Amino acid sequence: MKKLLILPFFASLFLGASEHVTVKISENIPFAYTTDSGKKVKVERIQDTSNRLTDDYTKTSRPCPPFCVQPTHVFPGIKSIGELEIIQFMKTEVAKNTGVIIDARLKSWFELETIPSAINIPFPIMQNASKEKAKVIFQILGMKVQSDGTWDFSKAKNLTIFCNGVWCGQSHHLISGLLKYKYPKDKIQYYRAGFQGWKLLGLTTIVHKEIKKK
Amino acid sequence: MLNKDQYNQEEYNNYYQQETRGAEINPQEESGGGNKLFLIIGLIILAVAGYFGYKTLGTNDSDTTDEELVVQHSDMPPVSQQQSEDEGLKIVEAKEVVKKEPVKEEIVKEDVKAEKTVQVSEKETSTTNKESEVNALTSSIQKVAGADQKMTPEEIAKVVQLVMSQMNQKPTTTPKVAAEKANAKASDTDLMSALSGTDVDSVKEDKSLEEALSKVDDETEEKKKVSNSKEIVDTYNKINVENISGEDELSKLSGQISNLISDKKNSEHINNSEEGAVYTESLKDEVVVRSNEMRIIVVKRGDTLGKIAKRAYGNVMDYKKIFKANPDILKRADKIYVGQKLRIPK
Repeated sequence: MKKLLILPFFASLFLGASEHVTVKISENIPFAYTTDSGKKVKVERIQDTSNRLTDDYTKTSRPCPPFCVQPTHVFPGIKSIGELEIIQFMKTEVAKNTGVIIDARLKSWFELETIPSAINIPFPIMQNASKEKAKVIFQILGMKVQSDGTWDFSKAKNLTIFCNGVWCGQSHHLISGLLKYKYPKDKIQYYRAGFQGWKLLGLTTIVHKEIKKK
Repeated sequence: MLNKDQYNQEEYNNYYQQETRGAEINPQEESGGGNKLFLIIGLIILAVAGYFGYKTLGTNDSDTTDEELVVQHSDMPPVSQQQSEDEGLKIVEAKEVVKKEPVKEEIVKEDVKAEKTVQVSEKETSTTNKESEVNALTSSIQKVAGADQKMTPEEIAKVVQLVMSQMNQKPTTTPKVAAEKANAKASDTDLMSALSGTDVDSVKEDKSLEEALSKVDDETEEKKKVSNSKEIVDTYNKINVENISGEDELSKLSGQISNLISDKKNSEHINNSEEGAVYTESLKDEVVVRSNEMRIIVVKRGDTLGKIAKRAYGNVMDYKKIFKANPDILKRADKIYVGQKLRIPK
């Protein structure tokens, strides 16, 4: 019994000592793993403590409207979360296929750079979708259509929605489209800091389409 | 060797006896300048023979290792016998005594030993190459001297002639001998320093240390370059999954949504409201700005910031734009590396 207790202790010491992380995600989370495009992705922060954001997401001012500051609670009953919750969401919900992280921005934004394991549902899709189209999207997200035609969201995935950040209303538009067709509020959460908040912490990002200049 | 020296001794004795006899037979005639001349010639012959004997021994020693020296030393004749030997042998003996010490030190400095031995033997080999001409001569004497006990008077005369001819050639060979002496001194100092474990070796060790350090520096430089290239990828902590399609459930889900988006009917939905159209257009404009911010170039061989600026903006002096846009990657405008991904702002 003692061996059973001692072995994991030394193993944890060894594993802990194997990689020194200067810039952890939180005191107890040096990094985390998720998957994107079938690839295991290590989510960590930039270790260069002198690093600063440069061109990306350093812009302070855009015309409002449409780029206005968003409230913390976009809709009643929709929970707002931060980075630690989204990483926890990756480890629990995304890993078990019970939840997805949705990038609500236009496809072009998504392709440039996004959060690991996020899928792209551009906000106009839901905002302007017909009931039939919404049904298709919801079914993709795990909703089941009962024999009597009612929509069963019991197996529907938990959704974490984000866009560019506090100045971006794209999440707001997507969530309104989801709520319009009765996607359960308790299965939706909003990452308000969005991609800018993610970038500001130097967290790992995913590039689906790199823009190269010859 | 010893035989040769013995021969020299005998030769001297013979000359001395002859001189003595001559003095006895013709005391009046031979007691003058003739006796002195023979005596001087005999002494010169002895000195030259002793010198070449020393050289020959020295050359032979150069090919031996310390271990061999130990064996030779144990095989050497007793001290009483050695005392009867000529000056050259004494020098060699002194040299060997000096050489004995590193054998003890070698136990402590085993790692250094091999290098020292190689270095010393290399130096001595180069010395022997330089001395080849002299050695040829000495070896001829050595050959003759090796058979001294059975030598006839004719052979003795030959040797004397050889030595005399050598003496006559002395002015021409003197620089070589001087060089040889210098080399011998150098090898001696090497040897001494090797024994004392000081100056020359310490310099050598320092050199090797310097080399090692320079290697380490090179390696760290290479590592820096490698880590730089890693930093190029990781500077912004981005992972490129372009052209990667997974088979997991999340990837399938993403694919289904993506197909839905790319459907023309759905794309029409995006802009079917006026408000949505304005917002979407604004977003599209914004994403163009961002796309321009995110333009990158992969540095190729032969690229400079100026060349890149010329390609991107048509003006070499616009390299400053690129330099300012990549503060995390570029510390100096004149140092870029192949494979670096540089932001090219619009």
